[in-house]
Amino acid sequence: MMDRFRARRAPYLLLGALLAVALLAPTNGSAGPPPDFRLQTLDGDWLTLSDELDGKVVYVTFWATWCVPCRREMPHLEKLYEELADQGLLIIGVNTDPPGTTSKIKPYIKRYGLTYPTALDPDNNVLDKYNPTRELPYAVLIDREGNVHQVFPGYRAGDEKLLREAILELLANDDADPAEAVPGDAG
Amino acid sequence: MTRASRLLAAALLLLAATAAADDDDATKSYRIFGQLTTEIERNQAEDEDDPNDGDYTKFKQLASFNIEWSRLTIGAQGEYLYYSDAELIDPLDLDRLRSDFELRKYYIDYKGSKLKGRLGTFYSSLGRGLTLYVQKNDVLGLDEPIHGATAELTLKHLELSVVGGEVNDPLLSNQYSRNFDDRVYGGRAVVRLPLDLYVGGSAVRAELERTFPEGTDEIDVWSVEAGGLGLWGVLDLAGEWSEIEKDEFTRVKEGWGRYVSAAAYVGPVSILAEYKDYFNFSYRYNLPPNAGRADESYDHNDVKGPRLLVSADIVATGSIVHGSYARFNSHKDPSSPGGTNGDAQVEWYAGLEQTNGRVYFQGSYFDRDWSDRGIQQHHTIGDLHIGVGGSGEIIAGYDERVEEAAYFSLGTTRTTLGYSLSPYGTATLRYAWEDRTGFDREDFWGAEIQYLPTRRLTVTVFGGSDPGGLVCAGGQCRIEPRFKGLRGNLTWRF
Repeated sequence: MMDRFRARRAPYLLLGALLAVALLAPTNGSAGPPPDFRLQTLDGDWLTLSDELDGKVVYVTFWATWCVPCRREMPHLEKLYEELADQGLLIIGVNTDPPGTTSKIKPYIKRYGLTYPTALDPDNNVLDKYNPTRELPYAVLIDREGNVHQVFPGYRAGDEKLLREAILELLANDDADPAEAVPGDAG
Repeated sequence: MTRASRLLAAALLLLAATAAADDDDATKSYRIFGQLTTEIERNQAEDEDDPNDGDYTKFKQLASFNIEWSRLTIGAQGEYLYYSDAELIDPLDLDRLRSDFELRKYYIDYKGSKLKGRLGTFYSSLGRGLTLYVQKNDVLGLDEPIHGATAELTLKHLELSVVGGEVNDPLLSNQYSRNFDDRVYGGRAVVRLPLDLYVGGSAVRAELERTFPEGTDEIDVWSVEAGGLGLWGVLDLAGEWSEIEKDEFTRVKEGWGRYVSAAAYVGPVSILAEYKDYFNFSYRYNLPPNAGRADESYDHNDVKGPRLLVSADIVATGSIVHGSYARFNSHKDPSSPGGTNGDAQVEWYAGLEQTNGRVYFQGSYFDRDWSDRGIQQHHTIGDLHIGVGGSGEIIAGYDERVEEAAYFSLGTTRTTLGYSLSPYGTATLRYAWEDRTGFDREDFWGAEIQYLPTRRLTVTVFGGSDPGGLVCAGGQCRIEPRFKGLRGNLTWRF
C-alpha cells in the first residue's frame, strides 16, 4: 500500500524538487561561450560561429519557414541589423527546414527582404545542442567577449524592444553586468 | 555497426581531437550547457464504463547536457518515463514502447576546419532527402536518431560525407508495437564548380527488418544531382535523378525519383516552380522534396506533376500575398484491371499576410480536389494579432480542416483566443469541435498558460480536452490521440 502511494506521488515530488532547483539556481545571465558550429550558408559558403564572433555582439536565431512567430520576428531583426550592423551587431539566422523544403528558403528570405546571413542546419544537429526541445524561434545573444548573454525562447510581440535594449547595452558597454541588462529578465 | 568499427571511429576522432588541441586556432573553451524538461499528463477517462479507458498519469523527464572542449563536444540525453498504468496508454502515444530510464542520445562530436565527425547518435539526410532522411520532428513528436557514426570532409571544391548506423522508424514501431533493428549506410560527394554551379551524388544501402515474416529487406538507392545558386543574380536551379531497388521477401521492385526546381526573384516577386516524378520510391528512411505546404500530407511513393508558387510583397500596403497551383497524377495505368482513370489531383492554396501598425493578420486557404478518388480536402487558417498597451497583444486564431469523401466527411475546427504579455508569457483559451458523418458533433474546451519567470525557465500548463487528429509538419504526418485532462511542462535551460 505504501509502495503504491510512493509510486503515485513520486513523479509529483520529483517535479517539485526540480522546480525548486530551477528557481533557486544561479540566474547570472552570462553562461560562457555558445556551442560552436560550422554550417553551410544559402550561397554554398561555410560559416563558423567562432570565426564570426571577433569582438562583435552576435544574435544567433534558429527559425523555419513554417514557423509563424519566426515570421513575425524577422522584420524586427532585419530593422535592428540595418540600424546597428555598423556598430558591431551581427545577426546569424540558422534555418532548420528539412532538406525537402530547401527550395522554399531563398524565396522566403527574398520575400521578407532579409540581408543578414543565413546558415542551414537541415539535420538539426546544431539546434539539438542549443535547444533539444526545438521550440522556434530560439535565439542566443552573445556579447563581445564571446559569451552567451541571454537566451530568447519563442517570440511574443514586444520581445523586440527587450532585445533592442539588450543589444544596445552590449554594444555600448562591454563591461556591463549581463544580469542587469534587460528589465524583467533575471536569466 | 560492429564494435570494431565503433572503436576505429572513436580512435580517429580522438586522433583528430589531439591534432586540434595542438592547433592554435582551436577554441580552448570549456563549458557545460543543457536543458531539463519535465512533463506530466493526467489523462482522464473518456468512457467511465470501459475498463480499458481509465485515468492514468504519464511522467516524462528529459535531461540533456553537453560538454564542449576545444573542438570536441560530448553530449548525452537521458529520459525517464513513467506510466501509472501501462494497460491504459493510448495506442497512438509514441512513447508507449519505452519505460523507466533510457539513454536516448549520446555522442562525441569533432568539428575541425575541414573535417566534422560524430560518433554516437545523430540525424542525417543526404542531398534533398531522396536517398536518406532521418530527422527529428518535434511537431509530430518523432525523435529516433541514427546510432552510429558520420563524417564530413570539406576540401576546396569537394565535399564528402559518409554515414552509417542503426535506426528505428518511430511511426512503424508504434503501429506494430515493437522496435525495428534497421541499418543504413551511405555517402555523398559534391563538387563545387565555377559560376556557383555544383554536381554531386549520393548512395545508400538500407537493411530493413521486415514487419512479417522474419527477415531483412535490402534497399539500394542512389542519385545524381546538379544545380546552381544565384545564377545571373536572380535564379536558383536544382535537380536530382534517383533510382531505387527494393529486394523484398518474394520479389525485387524497382523505382525512381526525379526532382527539378527553379526559383527566380524579380523585384518584389518570387517564383518557385518544381516538377516531381516519383514511382515506387518510398522506403522507411527517405523523404523526397516537396514545395507544398508544410502542414499538409503528400504522397511520395507514386506521384508526378508540376507546381508553381508565387509570392509578392506589396510595399505600399504592407501586404504579402502568395499563391500556389499544382496538378499531380500517379503512374497507375488507366486500363489496368480495377484501375482508375488515373489518379489526378489538383491542389491550390492562397494566402495574405498583412501588417498594419500594431495589427498583424495572416490567413490562407488550401484546397485539394482528388477527383479520381472522390476526395476533397479544405484547410482554412486565420491568425490575428492586435497590440494592446506597451507589450501586450490579443491573439485570435481559426483553423478548419475538412475532408469530404463520397459517403463520409470529417471536419475539425479549432479556435483560440489569447493574451500575451512580453516577456512573461501567454494565456490562451481553446475551443474546438469535430463533425463527422454518423456521429453527433463533439465539443472540446481547454485553457493553457505559458509563463516565463526568467528566460531560462518556461512553465506551461494545459487543462481541458483536445480532439487530436491529423497533424502534418515538414512532409510527415501522424494521427495524434485525443486528450482530456491536465498536462504540464517545465523546461529549464542551463
